[in-house]
Amino acid sequence: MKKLVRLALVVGTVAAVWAPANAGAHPLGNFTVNAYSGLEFSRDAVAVHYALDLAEIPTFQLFNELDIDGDVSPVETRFGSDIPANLWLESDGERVPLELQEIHAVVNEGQAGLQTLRVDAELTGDIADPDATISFRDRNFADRVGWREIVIDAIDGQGLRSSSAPDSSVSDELRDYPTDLLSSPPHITEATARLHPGALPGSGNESRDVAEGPSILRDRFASLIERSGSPWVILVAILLAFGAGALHALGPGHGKTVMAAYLVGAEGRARQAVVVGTAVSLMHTTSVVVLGLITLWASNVFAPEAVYPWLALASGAVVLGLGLWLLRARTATRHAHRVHEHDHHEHDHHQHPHDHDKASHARAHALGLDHDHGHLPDGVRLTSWKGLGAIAVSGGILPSPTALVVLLGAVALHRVVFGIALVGAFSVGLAAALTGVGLVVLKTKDVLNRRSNGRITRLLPVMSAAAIVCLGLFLTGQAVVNLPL
Amino acid sequence: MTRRRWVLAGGVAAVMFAAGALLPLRAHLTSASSRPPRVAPQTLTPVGGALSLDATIESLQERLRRHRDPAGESQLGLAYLQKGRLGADPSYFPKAGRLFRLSLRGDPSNVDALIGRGLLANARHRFAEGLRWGHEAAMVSPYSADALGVVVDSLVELGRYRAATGELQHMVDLKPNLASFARISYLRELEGDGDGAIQAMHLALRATQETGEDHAWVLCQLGDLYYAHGRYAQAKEEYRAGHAAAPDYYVPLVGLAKFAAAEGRLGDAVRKMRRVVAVYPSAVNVILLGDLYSRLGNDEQADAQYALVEAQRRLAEANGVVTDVELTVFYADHHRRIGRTVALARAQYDARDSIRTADALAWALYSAGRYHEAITYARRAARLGTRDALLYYHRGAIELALGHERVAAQLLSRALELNPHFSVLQSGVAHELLQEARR
Repeated sequence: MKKLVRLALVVGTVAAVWAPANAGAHPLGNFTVNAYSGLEFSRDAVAVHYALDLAEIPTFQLFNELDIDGDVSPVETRFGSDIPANLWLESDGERVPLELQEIHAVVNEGQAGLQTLRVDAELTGDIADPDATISFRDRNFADRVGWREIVIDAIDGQGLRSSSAPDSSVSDELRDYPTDLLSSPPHITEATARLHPGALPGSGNESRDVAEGPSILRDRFASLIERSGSPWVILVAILLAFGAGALHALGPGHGKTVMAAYLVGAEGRARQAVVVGTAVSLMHTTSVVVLGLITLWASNVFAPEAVYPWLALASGAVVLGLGLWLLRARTATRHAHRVHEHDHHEHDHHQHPHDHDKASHARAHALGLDHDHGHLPDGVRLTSWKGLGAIAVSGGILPSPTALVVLLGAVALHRVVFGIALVGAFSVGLAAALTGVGLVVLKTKDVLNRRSNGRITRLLPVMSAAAIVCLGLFLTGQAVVNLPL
Repeated sequence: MTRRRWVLAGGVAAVMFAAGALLPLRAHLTSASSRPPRVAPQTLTPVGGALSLDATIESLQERLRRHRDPAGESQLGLAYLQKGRLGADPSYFPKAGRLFRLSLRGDPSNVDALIGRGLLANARHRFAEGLRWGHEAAMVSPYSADALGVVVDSLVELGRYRAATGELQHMVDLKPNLASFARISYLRELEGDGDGAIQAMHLALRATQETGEDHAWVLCQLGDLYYAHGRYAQAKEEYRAGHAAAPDYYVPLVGLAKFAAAEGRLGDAVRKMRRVVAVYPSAVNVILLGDLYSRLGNDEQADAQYALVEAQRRLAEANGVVTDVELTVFYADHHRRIGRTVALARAQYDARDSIRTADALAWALYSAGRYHEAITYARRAARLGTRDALLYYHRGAIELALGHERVAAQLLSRALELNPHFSVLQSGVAHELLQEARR
């Protein structure tokens, strides 16, 4: 931030050449050339309304160059050929020539007895494919300072599947420039759109579509860090962080599916669900803190956002590995089942009392007296630490950007402990939600199990392992596609 | 205060990081969406950083849209100032001014807003006003080098060089950075210490980590210093480096055009200046192009450019902007609007008794044939011993008009030895006058 001050200060030293515009002057300054392109697509054609607004100085320069005194027809001749030549419209990669239909130049009184110029041109072109992908570029006055606006709309049954440009002008086609202090003059010289008959006209812009939904939550959590002081506020902040974490866990990803599938397949019990939840929570907190530290101290070596694709790849690879390992173990298990069918029944019998005696079961676990549920080949403990670790890694290694922002914000505000506490609460919320999902899944399995006399229990492990493999493949594939190579 | 700013910097960085961290995850889905702002570690330290200006502006706008705060408003104002300067887009300046006022309404002692108002006042050539804002900022925050910078600028332009030197010493003690070294360079230049000025600008250059146009700007300042001392080859190197750092930036192009003209490649110089004027038709640039046309004997084109200068002046006056000293010198050079030019120069001098205003008044009086009055101000302009070809030339011409051939010849040859190509048109006149003085 200091840098801004420092550089701005140099302005006064030697430069000071510009004349700031006052009231009455052109709202965007006397030097500006402002341009607007309004594209309107119908089924087989495009109509472009192109407007230019030249402030006093460029008007003076142009009139000088064209030797104009009163009659503006040379301006119309000049722009009549220049404007279409510098508008580059492509439909599915092929240039669409734009034909000039009409052009009007109007001279207005500007400041200090000078003049300003407004030019309005109407152009048309043919669009062969009503489902075309469109790209548009305005290269008129490319170097000149000024407002650059592009608007894309569709009429007559034509529609837009997507568009990078808005569907209406914020400046009323260069007639009324917004004076809002918090907006910069747009400098949009390129736009893309995908046509599709019947799609909602002007369905808005792509990036907005993507950011919707979770962003509300994200913003709320991130703003917690800015709240200050009293114990109540801190308590509420921590509760909110917990809630945000829980909701975050219920969003897509986050190893929830993996964990559920794993628990079901591995015949995990409630305790495992809790352990997995805790492990994911710890992993996530660690991951956020570590990436936070990297961001703070090591990011001149590499950009932290560059880590994300790799972490995603690691996460995917771990899931894939876990799935393959489980699949191998479980196909072996199924083999063993056939041999030890008898044993299995016995086991089922002896499993029920556990449900009625959770306390003693838990105690047995706590004392390390766990057993292998009998039917697994020796050495393969599916609810082992290794497996739980893998789930924790897959579910927690990818830090939630929101949590990271909170941590960095807290560091910047000298509230490191508060920040870590919030991230912790976020992670605990995340873990609680995951554990909850795990418990619900286990309960459902138990119910199904009782109804189907254990048939499902026998099939589930392999099916869930296969599901994990598929998920792992998908995550890894997605991560590979997203690698910045 | 520093702590508050540090907190703000952190907050901004955090917001930026939100954008930076989220986008890569989502960008792949949209691919064609906007570039994610670059996240730089330095933004989290109070030293400042490589966060791009546009990204900074965007995040501050976003932050202020959520809730207003004076600190954010003043920071955005400063960012607008820089954006306006780099992009040569003056529409940002009134916005910056309104933000500073808004910020001061919320927090009357916001030092950044006070500094911002001082910068704007100085940019409008209202240096007395700038000095007031600078003093106020320095009172609120006695250890702010930036506040002192405003004070120094105002004092220099008001011609209070001794006071300026004292404040500048203070400033560089607080912060030996680009801002203080660039000012030291300028003061040394005024005091006739050319080598010292160049040395200070080298230090300034070393103190910047800027890239692109910021970097190019500093390089061109150094290039101009070399040029002013007739070291054209070194000047060219700096202009070239500046052009390489920011190929679309007009400032290095002006330098390269000046160098081309010095080498006698006038056509090339015209081509470069046409490019500059098509993008940024400031009065100084337009005058240079007009002079080049005039040198080439293309009076019609030269007059067209001069008419544009005239239009600029009318606009500036209509907007209540105090006219540049350069414009006064231009009118005197071309013997235009003689009576009014003298009045204008007198008003400028009365407002502030600086080297440049004294020189402009002397030159305006000379073009009006009032040589006796002229020499008083020309000598006044020489009071710091500034080694500047234009000042030598002006004083030499006036001495010659008064019949002081020996002094005139001395001054004119000093001008031409120091910087033979100090002006596209006036260098030639200086040669003729020198011949006349020696006869």
